[in-house]
Amino acid sequence: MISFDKDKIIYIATDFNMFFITASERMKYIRYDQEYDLTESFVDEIIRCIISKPNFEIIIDLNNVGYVPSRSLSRLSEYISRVIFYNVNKSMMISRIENELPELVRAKTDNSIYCIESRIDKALKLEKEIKDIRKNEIRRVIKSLISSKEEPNYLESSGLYSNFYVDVKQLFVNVQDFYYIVFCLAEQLYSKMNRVDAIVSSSKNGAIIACILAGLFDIKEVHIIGVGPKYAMKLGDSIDCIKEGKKYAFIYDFMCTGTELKIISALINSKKGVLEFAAGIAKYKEHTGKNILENVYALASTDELEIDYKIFGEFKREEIQ
Amino acid sequence: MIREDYKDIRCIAEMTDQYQKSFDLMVNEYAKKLSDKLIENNSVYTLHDFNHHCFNIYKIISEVLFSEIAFDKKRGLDSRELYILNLAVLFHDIGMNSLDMSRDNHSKLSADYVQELYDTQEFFKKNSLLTLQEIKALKEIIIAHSDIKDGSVPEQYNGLKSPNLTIECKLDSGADKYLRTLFLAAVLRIADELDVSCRRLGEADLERELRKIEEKVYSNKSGNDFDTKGKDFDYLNSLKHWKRLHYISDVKREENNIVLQIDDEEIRKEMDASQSILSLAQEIMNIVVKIRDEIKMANKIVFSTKDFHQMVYIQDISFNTNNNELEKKTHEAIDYRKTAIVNSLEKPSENIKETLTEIIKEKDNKNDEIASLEKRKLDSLDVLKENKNKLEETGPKVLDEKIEEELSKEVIQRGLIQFGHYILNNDYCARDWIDTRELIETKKILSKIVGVIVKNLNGLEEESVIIGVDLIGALVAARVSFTLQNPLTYVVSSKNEGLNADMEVEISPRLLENKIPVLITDVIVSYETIKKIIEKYKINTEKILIVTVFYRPSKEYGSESNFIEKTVSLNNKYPIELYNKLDCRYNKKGGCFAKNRTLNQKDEKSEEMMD
Repeated sequence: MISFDKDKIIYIATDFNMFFITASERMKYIRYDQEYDLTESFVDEIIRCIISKPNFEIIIDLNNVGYVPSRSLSRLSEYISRVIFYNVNKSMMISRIENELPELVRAKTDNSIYCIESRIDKALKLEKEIKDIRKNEIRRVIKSLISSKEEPNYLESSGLYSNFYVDVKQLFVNVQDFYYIVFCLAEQLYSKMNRVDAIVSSSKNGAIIACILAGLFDIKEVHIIGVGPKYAMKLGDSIDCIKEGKKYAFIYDFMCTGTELKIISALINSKKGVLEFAAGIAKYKEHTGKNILENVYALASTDELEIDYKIFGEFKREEIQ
Repeated sequence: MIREDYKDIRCIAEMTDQYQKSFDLMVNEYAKKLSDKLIENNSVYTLHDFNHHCFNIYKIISEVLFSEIAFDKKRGLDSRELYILNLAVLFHDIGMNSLDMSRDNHSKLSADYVQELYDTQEFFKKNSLLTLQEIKALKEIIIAHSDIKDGSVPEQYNGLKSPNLTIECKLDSGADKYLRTLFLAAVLRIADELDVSCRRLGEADLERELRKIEEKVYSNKSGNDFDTKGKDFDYLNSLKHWKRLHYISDVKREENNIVLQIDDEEIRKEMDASQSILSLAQEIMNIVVKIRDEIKMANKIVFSTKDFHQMVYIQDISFNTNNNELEKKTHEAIDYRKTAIVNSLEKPSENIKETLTEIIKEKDNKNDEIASLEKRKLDSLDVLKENKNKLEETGPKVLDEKIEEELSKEVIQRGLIQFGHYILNNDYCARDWIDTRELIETKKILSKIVGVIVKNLNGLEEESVIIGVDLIGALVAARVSFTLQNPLTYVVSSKNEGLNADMEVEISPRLLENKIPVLITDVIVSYETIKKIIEKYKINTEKILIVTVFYRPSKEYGSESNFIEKTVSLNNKYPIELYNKLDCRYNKKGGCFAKNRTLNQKDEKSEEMMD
C-alpha cells in the first residue's frame, strides 16, 4: 500500500492505490479510470497499516472511489476512533459507510468527511491540509528531480543557461513516484483527451511520458524526432505523421522557455493540424508557453516548488547557488 | 443426471440404512433443482450443482475435515447428525436457484426453501424423517454457512455467531436425542469454503463461454467506455472468482494441516497471458487467507470447545507449488497476516522430533545430489557446444512465432520496409530499412510487442531494470517497465549522442547494481551498438538479457554468439543486404547520399546510423 505520511498522519489516496494495484493485475489493459473500486484485499492492507502504526491518524481519501464489496468496511469498525474518511462523494460509498460504520457521522452537512463525533473538530481542521497533500506529494517528487550542477546548465533547445537541472530521467527509476506522476497527469488530462486525435512529443523524456499516457488513454502517439532538445531532423523529413485537420496534444517533461513548443506548434500548423493543448510534468513559470498556446498545463511550476530557478543568457558561474 | 458414486463417500455411507434410503430419496427428488445456471442477473457464478459442488463438499468433509473419531458411533456423530449434515449440504445453495438469486442472502433463501418444502410438499414431509424442531435446526445450519450481506442481520449475529446455533440442541423426541448445530454449521461452512479447486469448474464449454465474455468486455472498451458499475463490472468481478478455481488442483490433508495444491500448469498459462506473478500471488494469498480466517473463527467458536477438536482438528492451512517465485511472493503477501491457527490441544514435541528427522534426511539427500550434478555438468558441455553452433545459424530465440508472422505481415502490408540507400555505420551501407518508428506508433502492434516481451520477462527470478536503447527502444522499454512495475532507464548509442541533451546520456551505475539489466532495442544487425553500450555504461554481461524487435543477420557480420545466447527477438525474418562503403556507388566526395542522414551530420565523416 502506498501512503503519504506527514507528522502523525498517514494519508491513503485510495484511487491511486487501486490504480497501481489494478495496473499490475490488468497488465494487457492498463487504463486510467475516473472511478475505482475498493477491494477487500485493500481493506486488509488498510487494517494492517492501522495496526502497525498505533499512534497515527489514518486519513482515507475516497476521492473517485465508487464501490466497495459489502461488509468490507465493517471490518474497520474497531479502528474508527483513528480513521477519518474524506471525499466520500459517491452515493454507494455514502450508503456503505452509513450502514456498516454507523458510529461515523458527517463532519458538516454539506461536506464529504466522515468520522466519529469526537473527532469532527480535528477533521475540519485537517481539511485544508488534506486538500494540499496530493499537490505536496507532486511537488516532493518533482523537487527530488531538481539539482544544481557545478556549472550553469546549458539549455539545448533555447541556447540559454539555467542554474538548475531537472533530471526527469531519474523519475523513471522510482516506480512509485513515476506511477504517481503519471496518475496525476492522467487525472488532469482525462476530460481533455477526447478533444485530440493523437499526442505528440519531441524530446526523449517527453516521448516516454507520452507513450505511457497513450497506453492509458488508448490514443495514438506520434514522436517528432530531431526537434528537441538538440536539433537533428532527418534530411527532407516531411513529418508525415502529422495529418491535416487532426488535433494534437503536445506532451513534454519540463518546459523552460517554450522553444520546443514553438517548433512543434509551427510544424503542426504547417501540416494544417491543430495543436489543442500542451501538458507536462513541470514548467519554469506559470505563464510559460502561454504566449504560444493558450492551454499549457503542468503539474507544477518552479514558483510553486519554491526553487529559485533562473534563466540567463550567458555562462555565469556566479548564478549557481 | 445425478452421479451415483456419492453413496460411496464416507459421510453418506456411514449413515444407517434407514437414513441412507431417505437421503437417496431427497437427492433424487431435489438435487436436480440445484442451480446449474452460470450467468444470471449479470453475474457469473461458480457451479452450485450436486454433481460438482455438493459432491466435492461431501468428499472434503469425509477426507479432509473429519478424523476417524467423527465417524465413531459413540464418540463422534451419530447417524441422525450425519443425516442432517448431509441434508444441509444438499440444500445449502438451493437459494441460488430462486428468481431473485443473489449472493448476499442466498443462505436465507435456501433455508426458506427448506421450510416451504416442509410446509407444502407431502413428499418431503413424509420421506425426510425430520421433525419440526429438526427442520428448524437444519435451517439454522444452512443460514449460518454464509454470512447474510444485505444488512438484515447484524454483524455480531451473522454466520457462526448466530444465537440460534447451539453446542447441544435438545430435541423433543427424547432426552438422549440432541443435535450439535453449531458444530455441524461450522463443518458445512469450512467445507464450502474449501471447495475452491478446479473440480468445481464444470465442462469445458462453460469455460469457453466465460473466456468469450471476458474478451468481449475488454477488447471493445477504452478507458472511457469501461462500465465499472454495471454489467461489465459484475461479469469481471464474478469471473475473478471463477478464475481462482483454476489455480487450485486439489485440497488435501497433511497431518494437522490442510494443503491447497496449486496447479502450476495453470499458473504458467496465466503468466503466458501476461498476468504478473505478483497478482497471481495476491490471488492465492486471498484464497488462503480467507479460508484461514474462517478456520480461525471456527476453531475459536466451535472446534476448540468440548470434544469437537477430536472430530475436526485443523492447525493451519497452507499451499504447495513447485513455482519458487510464486511461493516466495505468496508467502511475502501472507506473511504479515500469518497467524498459526493453534487449537488448544497442540502437540509440539512430536512435531519437533519429526521435523528434525526430516532435516537430517534432507542433508544426506543434498550430498548425493551434488555428486550427480557434477557428472551431469561434464556431459552437458558437448551439448552446449552443439547448441552454440546452431544459434549462429538461426539467430536468437524468437519469443513467439505467431507474433513473428504478424509482424512480418504488418511490415509488408503497410510498406514499412523501405528501399534505398541508408548508412549503417562507418564501414557499411544498407539497401533497405524498416520503419520501426511507424511500427511502434501503431497502437495495436505496440500492444502485441509489449505483451510478448512482458510475458517473457514475467517470472524473472531476480529484480530487473529495463533499459531502452535509443528512442524506439526507450518507448518499448517504457511500456514494458510500466506494465511490470520495474525501474526504467534508457541509454544512448554513440551514434546518437549528438542528438540528445548531455544529461540525458548519463545513467547512474548504482541503478544497475544487483539487478538483471534488460536491454530493449528495435533492430540488431551486428551487435556493434550493443557492445559499445555495454562497454560505455559498464553493464554486467553475466546476467544481461537483450530483447530486440528485429534481428537482421547479414553475410558481412559473423554472429556474436555470446550475445546471441543472451538475446531474444520478435522477428528474425528480414536479413539485411549490406555494401562496403568503399565500393558503394553512392559514396561521393562529401559523403553518402543516404536517406537517413540528419541535418547536423558532418559531410566529411560518415556517422553510424543504424546498427
